[in-house]
Amino acid sequence: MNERVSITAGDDHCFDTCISEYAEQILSQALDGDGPAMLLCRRRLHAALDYHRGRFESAWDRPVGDEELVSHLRCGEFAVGRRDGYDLVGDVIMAALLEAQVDGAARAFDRRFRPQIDQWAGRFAAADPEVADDLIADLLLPRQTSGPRIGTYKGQGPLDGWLKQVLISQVHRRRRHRGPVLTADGTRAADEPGLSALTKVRSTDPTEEYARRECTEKLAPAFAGMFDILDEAHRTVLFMAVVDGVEQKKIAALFGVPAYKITRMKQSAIEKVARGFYTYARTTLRMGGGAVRDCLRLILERFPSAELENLLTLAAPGGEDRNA
Amino acid sequence: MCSNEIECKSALVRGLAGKMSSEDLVKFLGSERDRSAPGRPAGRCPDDNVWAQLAEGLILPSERDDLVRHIADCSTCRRRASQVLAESDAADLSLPPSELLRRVEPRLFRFGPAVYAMAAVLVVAVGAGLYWRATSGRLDWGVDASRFVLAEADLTALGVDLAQRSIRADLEPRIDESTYRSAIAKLRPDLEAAEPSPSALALAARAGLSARFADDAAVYAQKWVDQRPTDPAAFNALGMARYLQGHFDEALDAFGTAATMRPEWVEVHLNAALAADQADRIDAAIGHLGRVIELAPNHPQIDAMKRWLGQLKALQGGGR
Repeated sequence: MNERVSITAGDDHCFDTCISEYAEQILSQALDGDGPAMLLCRRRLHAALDYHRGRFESAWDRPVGDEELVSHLRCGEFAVGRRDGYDLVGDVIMAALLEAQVDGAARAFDRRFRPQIDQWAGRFAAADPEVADDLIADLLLPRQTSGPRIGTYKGQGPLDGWLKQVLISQVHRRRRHRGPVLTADGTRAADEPGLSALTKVRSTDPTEEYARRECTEKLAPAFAGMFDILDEAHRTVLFMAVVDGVEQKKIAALFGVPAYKITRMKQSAIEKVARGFYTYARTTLRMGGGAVRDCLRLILERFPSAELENLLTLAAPGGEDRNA
Repeated sequence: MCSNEIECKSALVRGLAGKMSSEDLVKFLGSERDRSAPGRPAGRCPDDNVWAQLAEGLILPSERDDLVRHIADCSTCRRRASQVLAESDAADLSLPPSELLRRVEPRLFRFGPAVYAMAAVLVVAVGAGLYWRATSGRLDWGVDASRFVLAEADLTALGVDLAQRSIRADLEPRIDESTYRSAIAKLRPDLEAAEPSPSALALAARAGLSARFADDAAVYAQKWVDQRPTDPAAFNALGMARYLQGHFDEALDAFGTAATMRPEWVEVHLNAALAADQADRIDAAIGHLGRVIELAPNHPQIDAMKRWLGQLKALQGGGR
C-alpha cells in the first residue's frame, strides 16, 4: 500500500506543495508550511534526490533534471534496477515525518509496515518476542545522543528493504548483548565456540590436555594468517562459499561473473590455503603431515557437542560433492 | 563400540578427521580465523542503507567493489553480506564484472629488448607446438594433450619442490580451466559410458592433474584403476591426485602398488618417497628414496635427494 501524490519537482515551493499533499493524505491533516517538519522533509528529499541524480548521471552520462528524476523514482526506476509500483519519494517523506514526530505519522507507519516487521521478527528472531516492539521504539523515539533511528534512512532504496536490514542489525546486536547462555546442565557455555573456547574446556587426562593445548598454541597462528596469501576477491569468494555456505550462483552474481569462474576461484583458493597450511606446519613448525593431522584430530576431539555437530556436517560423505 | 552420544560423535570425528578433505580443512581454518582474528578492514563498516541496496540489487559496481574490499578483511560484515546474499534473489543483481577480478593489463608502448626476445621465443614455441599437434599431439577425441602432465610423471611435474617436499604455491596449473573443460567435454561420451574407456579415463585424469582439479583427477584415476587394475600408470596417476588432495597415506598406497608392479620405475619411487615423507612414514620414505638413488645415480636432482635422504636418516635415528 503506497499512497501516491502527484509531485512535479523543480523548486522548493513545488516540493512544499507535494510534501503537504502527501502528508495530508497519510496523516489526514495539513502540515504547517513553515514548521520544522516541512523543513526536514524538504532537506531529506533534496539529499535523496541528489544521491540518485549522481547515480543516474553516471549511468546515463548526461545531466538529469529534477522532474525527470522524480518521475523515475516515483515509478520505482533506479539507476541500476527497477521495482515496479514502488514510490521512493513517498518513503522519504514518510521517514522525515516520523523523524519530525508529526502527529499521526507513527500510526500511518504502523498501519503500513507493522505486518511486515512482525513477519521478519518471527523469521529472524522467533525466540525473541520483543524484537519487533523494540525495533519500532528504536526507530521512532529519540536516542540518548541523537534523533530517532529513522533519521538514518537516506532514501537510497526502498524503506521496507532498509527496515528489514535495521531489524537484522538489531537482532545481531541483541544476541551479542545477551551474552553467554546457560546450558542444560546449568553451566555457562563459552562466549565463543571454537579454539578460543577449547582453552576453557579441560580434559580429564592431563597428558592429553597438555598435548591438546600445545597443538592449539602451535597451530592457532596458522588459522589466522593462512588466508593472507589470497587477494581480496579470492579471500571473499572462499569465505562466502566455504565458511558461510552461500550458493555459488549468488556469489557469481555479486562479482558479475559466470558461476564456473567462482568454482574455479574457490578451488584455486582452497588449494593455495591447504598447501600453505601444510607447508607452514612443515617448514616453520617442523611438523609432518601425519603430526598435523594428529594435532587436528586432538583439537577436534575436544570440541563441545554443538561444534561436533557442525564438524560432523562438514565431514559428512556428501561434503566432497560440494567441490563438483 | 561407543556407549553414549558424545563418545559416538567423537569416534566418528576421529575417523573422519583422518581423511579430512582440503575443503573441510579450509572451512575449519576459516571458522577459526573468523573467531580469533577480527581483521583490520579497509574503510568503515557499511550501514543499513548499503545492506538494503545490496539486498534490493540496487548497489553500484563501484560500491560493490568497495564493499568486497571491506568484507575481505572484516569477518562480521562478510557474514552479514553472506546473509544478505543468501536471503536475496541472485537475479536481482545484474552487475558488470568486478574490477577486482580483472588482471592488470600491460601498458602499451613499453616494449624493451626483453619483450622482443620473449616474443621471438613465443613465436618459436607456438610454431613448435603447432608442428607437434599436427604430427602426434592429437588423440582420437581431438583433445590436445601436449600440455598435460603425463600419468607416468613424477610429482615435480606438478610443481612439488624436492627441497621443501611441498607444492610450490606460486606455480600456476599447466592448463587453464577452459582448456580442461573443453577436454572433458570432448571425452564426455566415453567417460559417461557404462564401461568408460581406459584411454579416455587416463586422458581425463591427466587433464585433471594438469589443471590441478585434484578431486576430479582422483575420481577419473580411481575409475581408471578399476578398469585397469594391473596398470601401474593408473596407480601412479591415482597417487598423484591423492597427493594433491593432501591424502598422503592413500597416495603412498597407490604409489606403493605401482612400484610393486614395476619395480624399476624411478618416478614412482620418487613419488612414493614424497608421499611417505608427508605421511611421516620415515622407513618407507627412506626405502623408496634409496631405490631412486640406486636406479638413477645421474638424476638431475641427485644432490637434493642425497641431502633429503640424510635428513630422513637423521630423523629415523633421533626418533620423531
